[in-house]
Amino acid sequence: MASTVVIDKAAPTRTVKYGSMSRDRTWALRWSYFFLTLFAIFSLVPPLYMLITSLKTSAEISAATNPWWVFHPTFSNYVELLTSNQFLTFFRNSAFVSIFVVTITMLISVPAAFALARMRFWGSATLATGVFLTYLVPDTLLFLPLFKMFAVFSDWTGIQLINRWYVLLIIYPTLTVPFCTWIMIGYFASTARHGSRR
Amino acid sequence: MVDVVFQPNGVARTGGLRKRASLRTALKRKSTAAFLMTLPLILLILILVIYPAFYSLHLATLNKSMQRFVGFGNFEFLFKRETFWLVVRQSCIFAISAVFFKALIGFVVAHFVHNIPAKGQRKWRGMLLVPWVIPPAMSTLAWLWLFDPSYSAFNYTLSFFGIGPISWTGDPDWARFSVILVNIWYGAPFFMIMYLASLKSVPDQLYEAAAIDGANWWQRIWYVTLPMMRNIIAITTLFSLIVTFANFDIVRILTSGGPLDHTHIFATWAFRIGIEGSDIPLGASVSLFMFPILAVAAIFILRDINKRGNEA
Repeated sequence: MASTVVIDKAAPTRTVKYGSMSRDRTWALRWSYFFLTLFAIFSLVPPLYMLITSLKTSAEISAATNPWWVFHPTFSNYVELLTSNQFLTFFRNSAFVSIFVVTITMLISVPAAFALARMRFWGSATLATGVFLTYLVPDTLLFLPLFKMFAVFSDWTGIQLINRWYVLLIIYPTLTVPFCTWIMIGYFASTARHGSRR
Repeated sequence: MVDVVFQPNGVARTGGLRKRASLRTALKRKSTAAFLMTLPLILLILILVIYPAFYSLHLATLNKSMQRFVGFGNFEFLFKRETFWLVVRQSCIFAISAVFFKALIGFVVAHFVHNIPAKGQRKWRGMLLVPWVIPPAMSTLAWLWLFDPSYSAFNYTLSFFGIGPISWTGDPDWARFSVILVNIWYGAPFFMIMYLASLKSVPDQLYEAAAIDGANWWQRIWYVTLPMMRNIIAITTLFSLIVTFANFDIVRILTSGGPLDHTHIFATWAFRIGIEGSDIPLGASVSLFMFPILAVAAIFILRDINKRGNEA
């Protein structure tokens, strides 16, 4: 409250620039760049180290040389990976899982978010809040009961879920659908506001 | 959807009674359509979130072979074990210190990014967001190599300063430090981006007014920036507290519980007991301890939503 009173007082005064202020400003800028560089190094070291190590041979990794530099860069690791059947299988699995999970998530969350944002019905506000709270439920709280549920499910139906890649198509939407729905509710609500102004 | 609602209205303009009836059916039809559209979501939440949550409550009251009801037996067993109290302490240390430093670093970095000319901000923001974009399971592997005792890049660098080789993941205290450091590295960009967004929304006149009143930088932060950012700080801290408290992958990959269970937190210990030790009920009772913090956070967030609803 006090700050708003201050604005009213300050508004009519002209903006005065002092020499010392601009000098302060350049120093503030220099310090900003200095610390930003430090933080950028901090955040980029692990991925860069990963890249550097990927270009080394095993002999160079175990040699007592400077670990921060590659002396004999080699692409043999990448060649070995891309020609091994196992890695290609893993890669295909990852691609399949992500494509299917995104498709399932979109099919469930987009209509639901549209309905929750644009069409009011009984309990829609509660459900929207509930979706957000579900998003807050940590996945680590759910993995034990889900594991047991899938074990029981395979006992009943004979469909093996545990240790199969397609179980991820059930697990991941549990985590992604509430998040996507929550984001999409915000989006649809904002577009509705623009529409009504027209 | 709008057509569906208004067409019957236009047709049934003959009698008030019929009009009201058709309106009601139209409304009913609209809400039915809306309900059908949300049905997959409701089913998913019921079957895969709410049912497992209650199922884990039920599991926690069974014995190891899951055939006999033992009531609070699992909890009594846990309270008598020293490792459990170690896990409780480590979870609290881990979550509180990691969230504190994440918030602090995020706040400071957001200020620095906000300070520099707008032209270069994009580039810096991109570089600083890298940790948050890489899947934590993979970046933690990179950290594991950096921490490696024999070929360690960190120990190599430190040896130039005459600091002896540190066993980053072997010594309990250093292992705790490493786990927290990786979590800070991973989570700080989230705070940075949230704080940067809210810093941009603070009107410049407030700072100009404060500068004219002779406020120094500390007073500007304390009396202008912090009050304006209070809401976003509260929400991000609560959210990050939940996520950090329930963290699994970083601890699991870096130390997998660490030297003598010293870096176990609730999620990793529940996994160790429940899946690896195949004592699902005991693991479920461990994981239930993550619930209170969730409930507290949910109450705060719900209160905030209601308050905002009243203001609007």
